[in-house]
Amino acid sequence: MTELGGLPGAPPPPTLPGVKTAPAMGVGDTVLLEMNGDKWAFIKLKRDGTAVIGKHKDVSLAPLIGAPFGSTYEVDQDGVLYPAQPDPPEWTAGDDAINAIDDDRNNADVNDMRDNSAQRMDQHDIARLKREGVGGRSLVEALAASSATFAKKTAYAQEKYVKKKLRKHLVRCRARRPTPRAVCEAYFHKQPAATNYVRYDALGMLLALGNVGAEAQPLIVETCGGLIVGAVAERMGGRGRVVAGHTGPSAPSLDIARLMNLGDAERESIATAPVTELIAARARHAGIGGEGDEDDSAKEIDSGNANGAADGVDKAEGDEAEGGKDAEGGKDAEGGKDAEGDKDALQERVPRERPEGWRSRRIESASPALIRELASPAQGFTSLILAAPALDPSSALAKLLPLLAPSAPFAVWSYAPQPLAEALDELRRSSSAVNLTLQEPWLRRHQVLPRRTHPTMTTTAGSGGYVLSGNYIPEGERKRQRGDDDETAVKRARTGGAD
Amino acid sequence: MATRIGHLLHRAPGASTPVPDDDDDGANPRGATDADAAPSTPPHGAGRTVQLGDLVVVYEGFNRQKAVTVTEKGCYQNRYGNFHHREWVGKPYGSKVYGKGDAGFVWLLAPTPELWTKVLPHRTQILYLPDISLVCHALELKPGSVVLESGTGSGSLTHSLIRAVAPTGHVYTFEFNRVRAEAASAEIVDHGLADFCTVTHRDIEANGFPGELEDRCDAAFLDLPGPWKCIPSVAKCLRPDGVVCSFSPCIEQVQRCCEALEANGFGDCQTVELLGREYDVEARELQRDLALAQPKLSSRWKREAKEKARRKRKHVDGGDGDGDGDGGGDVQLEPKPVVVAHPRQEAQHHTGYLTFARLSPLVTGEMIDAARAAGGGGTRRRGGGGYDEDELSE
Repeated sequence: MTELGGLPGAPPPPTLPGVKTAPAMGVGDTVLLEMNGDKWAFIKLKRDGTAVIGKHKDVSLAPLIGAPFGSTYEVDQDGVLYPAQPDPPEWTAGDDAINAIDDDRNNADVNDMRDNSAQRMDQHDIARLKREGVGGRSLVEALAASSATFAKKTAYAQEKYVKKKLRKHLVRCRARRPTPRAVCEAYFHKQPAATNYVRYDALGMLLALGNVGAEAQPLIVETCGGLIVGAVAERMGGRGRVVAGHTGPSAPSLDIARLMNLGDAERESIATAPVTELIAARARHAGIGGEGDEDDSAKEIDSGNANGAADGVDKAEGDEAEGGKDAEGGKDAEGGKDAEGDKDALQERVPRERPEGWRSRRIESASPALIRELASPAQGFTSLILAAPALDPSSALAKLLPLLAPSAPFAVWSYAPQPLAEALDELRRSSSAVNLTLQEPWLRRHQVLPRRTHPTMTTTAGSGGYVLSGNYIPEGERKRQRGDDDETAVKRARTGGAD
Repeated sequence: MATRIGHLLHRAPGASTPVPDDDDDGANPRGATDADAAPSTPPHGAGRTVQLGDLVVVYEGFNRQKAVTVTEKGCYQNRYGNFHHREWVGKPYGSKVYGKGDAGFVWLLAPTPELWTKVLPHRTQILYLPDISLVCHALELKPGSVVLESGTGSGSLTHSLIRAVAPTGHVYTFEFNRVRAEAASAEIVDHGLADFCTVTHRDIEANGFPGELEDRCDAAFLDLPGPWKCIPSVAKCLRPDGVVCSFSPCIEQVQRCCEALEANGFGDCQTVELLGREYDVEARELQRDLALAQPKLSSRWKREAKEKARRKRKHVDGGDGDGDGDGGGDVQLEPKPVVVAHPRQEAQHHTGYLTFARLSPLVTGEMIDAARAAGGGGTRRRGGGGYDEDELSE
């Protein structure tokens, strides 16, 4: 007897989902190792694989294999990695910690001793302790005991001291699943330039404003290393088509998308395409005005092949084109066909025996047939996500929006508001879009601990960049017509309307 | 082939029925019309054009839009005139449509969860785009995910959760107010989303989530006055490494929630505050001539529109851009249009804290011992850096 649903008019709830187990780390998976909360490393798990963790060069990662993602580990002074309890308790640690606020000690007598005279042990003593096998927590306890100022500190300051020292003498790491959120956060902290400083909340906002979901067909133009393309592909679950549009002749790196352990269906749902080709294909469609007669399609495939060759995409391109043709008959079959074509192509290229956990990381470029199909006016992209701050958004939108289905949403990210403001003004004046919004995700983290909750001190300004969004209005629906006089325009303009 | 736009969810091209749920709609008393004939429309272009029974977002102007279900006899009325629904049928989404007589116009937009959030009937306070997008992203949802939500409220977040997990996942949403639960359930059915979402009338704080969902969920979202009361139940329902998010307006609620999360095996606890700061954008003509009095700031829109109209007339009359001034050296004193962006003063968001935590996989002492023995070989020494002190001293 289910306790679910049962409201009037609603169909009975579907069968219960199966029992879920924790996704486990397997050979060939990418694992995001978060070390002491301030260092990140992407590791491709191999049998007998090792990693550099802290000061240890050759730490065996064998304990990770088969363990659930999200597990926590510690590395001891011998460089041995072993599973550990997740987090030391903060809230349930007992009354001492919680009553620490009533601590009367203060830092009136604690001076900033630059000469390290507060610490009685020197590095030789520490090395000796380590040789004796004292490491991690025990070593930090020893350090605290021989500190002249430790006892005078407040409980908070003591805790801070211990945490700081622990970070130095004990590596704790969490093996995170490289979800788009985790990958985005890691890059934002570690190498933000690689993802154009896109923060995870801004990424989430782009996914929402880009109406990304299963069966969508979004056009993504990004220079964030594949972060956005990968996140979009994951959110679509291998259903639909992600087109990674690029300027210039060759596709930019999508390496960050490859870190996300995408399944075959998800990876194969991505196709790269030069935006100029898409625009040209649309123009050809418009020029013919017909529904794609045969002569035309043959021509396009020819010209496209020439292009493909120039891009250095050879055999797979032909396979893909065939797949694309077949797909016109039955689109559902396309995924399977592509997968086979892909495998065949790669088997030829990789005659050697594949290592355990091998998986294809190949992202196809769109075949001319697919480009032609995508650019068809009857098709249209379901949304546009633009995160290429070096592109002028006004000009890019003027060219790319006509590739969208009418009313389709779009979202543009930039680290700076001005280009987006100018694009918004341009779109509003040309009535190419409605529902125009320029916003800035502003995020602040808080430390929440017993009687010591406060905004976390950070070095960032809180801004996650700027996002311009709206819904595309096709050209025929923009012109001033009857009833749309100056007065209405003024009225609309006043309310921030999108005329 | 292209049937992707025009419904709250994207549809596979060539899908024979708009949404899998449509078969059931005949029995639905709110189905209002013969709209459910939609499957008989030709697949090509269907969904791109407005059909009877469609949910359409009528866009009048910025933050002035309404949800309308297109019916045979329906008529949409606003200050720009009367719009008969039947005149919309067959028009592509994105069309501008005119009212009866020489009245004004509106645009017809295809619904999305984002637009729905802007037009939905408020039964409670709702979550807005910035929070919604962060929740869906940080809960790490994708098609196939199973997610819990309580309370359902006005269903603002619910629609975005459905989009993220459909068609293979499911949203189980719970609301303790019966009237609101029924209204939300009706909405989900009307929107053709019942295959991906089940609304249940239940007090989650008092009763926890139903036992039948234990171990079957990937994520949970809580918007409850006392979220800590149901954290043990959430811990039972989530798989290891599953994520829970709790939204609370008060920091005291957040603190109690964090305490409960820690006590129930959650880690990686993070509390954030997120605002979507919206900006107004204007093309202004900033005055450069210090000898002139400045116009009032408040009248800028009117003034600019008048100026524009005047310049346009001059243009038509054969004047040119320079003709505005007195000629001569005044050219550099011409107003220079600049696009300015400034934060909008009245913002529509309910600020609260979002707390995220992750269910830690279970680790036993034996697992730790085994790994250390295997990794350390014979060289294991006393006093390593283990977390568990007992384990260290053995």
